[in-house]
Formats: sequence, C-alpha cells, structure tokens
Amino acid sequence: MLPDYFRAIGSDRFLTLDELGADNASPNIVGASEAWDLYHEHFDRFCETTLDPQFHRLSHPATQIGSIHLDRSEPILIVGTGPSLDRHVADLARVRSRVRVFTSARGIDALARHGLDADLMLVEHRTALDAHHSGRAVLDGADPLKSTRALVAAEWRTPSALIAAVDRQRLFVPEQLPTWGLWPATLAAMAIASGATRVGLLGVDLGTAARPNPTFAPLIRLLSWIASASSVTAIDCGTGGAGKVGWVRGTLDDLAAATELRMLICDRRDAPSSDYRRAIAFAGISGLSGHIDAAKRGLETALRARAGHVDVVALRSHLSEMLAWRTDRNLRTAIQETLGVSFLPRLWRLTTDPASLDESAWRPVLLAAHELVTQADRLTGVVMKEAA
Amino acid sequence: MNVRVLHVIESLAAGGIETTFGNMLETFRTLAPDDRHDVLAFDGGILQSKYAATAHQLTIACDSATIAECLARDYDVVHILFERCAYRILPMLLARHSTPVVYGKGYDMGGMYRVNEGLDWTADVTMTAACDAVTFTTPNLAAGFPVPLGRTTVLRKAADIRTFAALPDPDVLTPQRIVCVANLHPRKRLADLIVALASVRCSAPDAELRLVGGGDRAERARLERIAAHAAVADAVSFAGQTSDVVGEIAQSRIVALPSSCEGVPTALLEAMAAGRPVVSTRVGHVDSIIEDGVEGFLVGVGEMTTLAARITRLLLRPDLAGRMGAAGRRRADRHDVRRVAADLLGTLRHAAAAQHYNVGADLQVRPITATSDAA
Repeated sequence: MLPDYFRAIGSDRFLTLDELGADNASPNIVGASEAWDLYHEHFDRFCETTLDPQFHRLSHPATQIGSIHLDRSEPILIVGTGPSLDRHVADLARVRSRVRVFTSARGIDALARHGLDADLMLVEHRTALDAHHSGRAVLDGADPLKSTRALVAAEWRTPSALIAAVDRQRLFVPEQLPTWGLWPATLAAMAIASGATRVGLLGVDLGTAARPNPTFAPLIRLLSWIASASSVTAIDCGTGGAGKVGWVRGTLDDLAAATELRMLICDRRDAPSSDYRRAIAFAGISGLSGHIDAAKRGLETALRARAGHVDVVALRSHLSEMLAWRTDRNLRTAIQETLGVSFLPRLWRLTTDPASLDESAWRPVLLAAHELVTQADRLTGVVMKEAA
Repeated sequence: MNVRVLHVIESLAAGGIETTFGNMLETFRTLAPDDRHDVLAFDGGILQSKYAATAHQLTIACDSATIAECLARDYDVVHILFERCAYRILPMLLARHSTPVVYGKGYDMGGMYRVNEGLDWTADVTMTAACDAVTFTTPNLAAGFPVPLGRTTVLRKAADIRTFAALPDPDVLTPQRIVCVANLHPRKRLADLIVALASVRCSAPDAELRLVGGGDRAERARLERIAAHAAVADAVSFAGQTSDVVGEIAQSRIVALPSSCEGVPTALLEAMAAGRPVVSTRVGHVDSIIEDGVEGFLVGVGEMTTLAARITRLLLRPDLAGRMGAAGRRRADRHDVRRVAADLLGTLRHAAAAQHYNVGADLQVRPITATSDAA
C-alpha cells in the first residue's frame, strides 16, 4: 500500500514536514521526509491539486462519485503516448485481456488508433490552462472520449466541455484521489491504493534511457518514489525510455496475468448535487468575508502605491496580515480550495520578512490580494447567477 | 546606462515566441553591446545553440533551487515571457527581491485562449497588475488587462522578415500555388483549405496547395484521406517541418491560413514581407496586421465557400494580388524584429532606471499606440 501521507502532501494542506507529522499519527510518517524533499525540490511545495480557479466543480456533469477496487492478482498497465507504445502495441493487443489498462485522454486516442481501448481513463490536469487546452481539443473535433468504452474518472476541476460527450453511466468523480497533479503517477498511486500489487508502464517514456527529459524530472522522481514506498512489483514495459528507480525493465508478458481478467469493479454513490455544491461555495465565501475585506484593503493600498502614493508601513502591515493567515490550517485550506487562489498560498511557503521589503512591497501585496479579491468576486458572481 | 537583464522563457523549442525572441536577443547585442542579457529557460530545445551563442549566460533548469539562484543574481530588470514562467516565479521574485519586473504578455497559450475563446484566467490578469511594467504584443490584447497606461508598452508583433523581404514578387513562372505554413493540427483546420482547393480548381485548374509544417502523423493521414475524397490528392503536397520556409514562400502566389485559433501569426507577416497576398480566418488578432481587402482577405472560420472564392479571385486577378502584396510589404516592414527589439529594449531600460529614482511611481514608459505605430 501507499503511505497515507502521499495524498496528504499532494493536497497542499501542510506547510512543513513537522505540521504533516503532527497531523498524521501513523508510524509511516517516519519515511515522509524523502517525499517531502521531492515535494520541495520539484513541486515548490505546491502541487495545486485542490485548486479550481475556474470553478468547474459547480458545473461538473458527473452524477456519481466512485472508487475502483482491484484484486491483488490484477496487473495494472499505465499507458502513455511515448514512442514505446507504438513499439509494443502488437504485444499489448496480444495480452490486452490479461492486463488492466489505465490511461489519459490522449492515451485513449493513441490506443484507438490501434483498435484498442482502456479500462479506466483519468482526466486530470495540473493547471487551469492545461485543462482548457484539453477542452480546446474537443472543440477542434478531436474528442477521444466519445468513442471509448472505458470508465472515465474526471476530477472535480475538469471543464464540463471536455467530458460533455461521455456516457453518464461511465463517468464518475474519483473519491480520495491520491494525486500530486501528474496523471501517470496519480494512476499508479490510485492502482496501488485500490489494491494492486503489480503495476506496469508503457509509453510513459519521459525521454530516453540515455537522455531523460529534464522537464519530466518531477514525474520520474515521483514514479520512483511511489515504487519504492509501496513495495509493489513495478515493471517498465516500454523499452528505450528514461530509467525510473524501482521500476524494473520487463515485457508485457512479465506483467500480464495468466488468465483473462473480469470486468473492472467500481463502487459508486451519488455525487453531491450542483445545488449542494453551490451552497458549499456560498458558505465558503461567507466564511471568508472578513479575510476578503482585509484583502480588499490591501489591494487598495497596493494600487495606490503602484500609482505613486507609497505607504511602506501600510504595505508591510497588509502583507504581514495576509502572511499570518498561514498559521491557521483550516483558514489556509478554505482560502485555497474555495477561491482557487495560487499566489497567497505560495507566499505562505516562502520565508518572506515584510520588514525587509522597501517601496516595492506593493507588488507581493497586489499579487496576493488582487487574485484573492478577483476570485472572490468571480465566485460570488457564478454562485449568484446560477442560483438565479 | 548599461543594463543587466535576466530574460525568463519557457523553453527553447521552435515556437513562434521563442524564435522571435531569439532574433530580438541578437538585435540587443547589436543595439547595445555593453548591456548584459542572460536567459533562464525552463526547458531546452532546438533553439538552444542559437540562444547559447546570443545570451551572455544561458541557464536551462526547472528545479526550484536553480531558479531561485538565478533570480538572486544582481540584475537591473527581469523580463518574463510566457504566462507559465510568470506564474511559477512571480511569488518568489516579488516577495524576495525588489528588482523591477517586466512581463511580456503576448500570444502565449493564455493570451491565445483569452482572445479566441474568452478564457478568463484570473492569475494572468493578476500577474500583469503586479509587475512593474507590461509589454503587450498588440493594442487589442492590452485592452483586456487593467494595467495603467503608464506601465504599459504596446509593442508590435515582431518577425524576422529580412530574407522574406528580399524575395521578388511572383512572376509568370511562379506556380499557381497556395502555401499554408502551419503545424498539422486540427486547430489549424487545414482540411478546410483542402476542401476549398477543390472549388478553386474548377476556375483555376492548375491551382495546387502546399502544406508547410510538421505535426501529428495521424492528422497528416486524415488530411491525405480528405484530399483523396475531394479528388485533389495530386494537387496537395506536404513539405513537412522545414527550415526553408523562404523557399516555400518563393514558390507561392498566395499564403493562406484557415485556423480556428491564433494570436498574430508570424507566418502571415513573413508572407506579407515577401509580397504575397494573404487569405486568413478572422481569428485572434489577425486583423491587427491585415485589413480585409488591403493586404489580403479575412474570412470566417469554416466559411469554405468564401475561402475558395477569395483564393480564386487572387489567382485569377494577378493585378489585385500584386496590389495586395505591395500593401503587405509596407505593413510587414513595421513589424521588423529589429524595430520591435529597439522598443522592447527601451522599455527594459525605463523599468531598470525607475528603480533608481522612484520605485513606486508609474513608470514613464512610452506607450506605443496603434496610431503612433502607423505613423
């Protein structure tokens, strides 16, 4: 199994390893420092997995929440679109009924070109821009989700346009998604958390064996950590790709089960209605009204400073006030998750001394306050409009 | 005053912004040899050797420690291209350093989706508000952001047009060729052009289409099927990814772009510089460089009948094509990368100088409006 703190770290609800440790009494927390270092070095201690800046959760079309259950003997193959997929696609076709295939939307598209399909597709994006980019592909007519027979797990932040064509019987919101925002790692973690003990990769090449792509360094490190922390049998079936520590090179035959697999089991229950989600959003804004007002005052001071009327003392005071919110974890979580803001949470993660800032202090104040106030206004507008 | 600038760019891939900015860096070296221009790129790419030869120091890294180390160096101004770069580094940069920051807001992904589909991404608006100065590629793009005029410089879309401008006008030996320079991607709607070609060939039977650009194999296969279905397979050719775009334009009479999503396409400016009339969809801010009926024609997305009619008209009326081509050459000259680079360097210098006399006040950056641009 994967340690509980994997999902906890990826949720961005903790600022320090000590804080994480205080919240998780599990003895497994002892091994968390390696994961925390990875979180620090490659994710700036902010994966953004709980940010929904476009408020897609209010219009998500799924009517069910679900979680998959896997038998220990079921081999899970995570399929990406790297060159090794094409190299081994004939082998994949041969063993297809004996491996459980998990993939992304692009993976579904690549498999379809070879007459193959997946068992589970995860829709997950690191940022709002990435999500919009995927949604744009649907407008361009490349909608791989139309024809797939796979179950589609689409997190709450998914643009509705991207999943509008998905059969509602196959669509669900994954419950308790163990994620750091990078879908191959999320699928590996999801498989392990659901009971799998044999996980493979194909087309998740991330560069070549000789030259790993540095852009994918966070994913390579994360996959390596998952393999070592979970003690599963991890097999990289894609020859030629970047090496991942803990993933042994092997063939699809090495991964595949001896017999055909049964249908994938997914326990589902009703998702909260859109009315309920709006009510939660409204309650969230109401609960933050005092802080939103404080941010508005900071924004006004910063805008005045930007126009030449600098009050350094006031700017430092506003910045100190907003930074002090980091001491209250419930407040932090509420601000992040209700409003989908990124800048203030990332300022909380920096060691910034407002007293050290000069006239330029208007910039971090404006960065934090502008986004917070704008998002609060936008969310209020969305909630009110849909209520009307 | 000599300035030390750190330019932050997403990658050194062969994208439009990356290529154009690489050309600007070269110009900076010519304009002000004593300035220092370092580059931090989050990822490498095909332009790496060019950047390495032009920048005083090139750092390629995306890990937190190296980025922090770069930002901590002694610069007079930090210039950020791409919203993804700004999004990643601004909290660290603004909270820890007082170095002036200039955000180059162009037609990156956020900019394109904003103008084409109305994507309202608050973080991007916030980033323009929190930087010391912002450069926008066009006035149309600037109009959507609440940045005071005194902190705004509207540059023009820049293109390295020198080699294109040296091309002669088409003559009787030039084939009846329509060229489209674009990646093979569904967003470019190249199939529209293929279908339109079938209509064009009813009036201009020698018309042919040349698609210049790399891309997805599946999309190429799809386009080949459409060409076969429209009975124009023998008149459609694929150049693939090529470094000889000049040679491809030289063998064309018209350059067309039927895309559904654009900013201000460099390919159109290059075609205009070469004196080719252009036929494009009215998307993004294409209308900031093309006036319908002057340098070429603008049509709606997916309006294949109109697209075919405009192309046919230009093929059958060389006089009209010549007038539009000449107008295009005049228009493109204003977008010469050397001119735009000089304006950008001016903005960077103003931002750098401002920290020495009045950090908080609005920078007296010279706003270049559409009117003054035309002048």
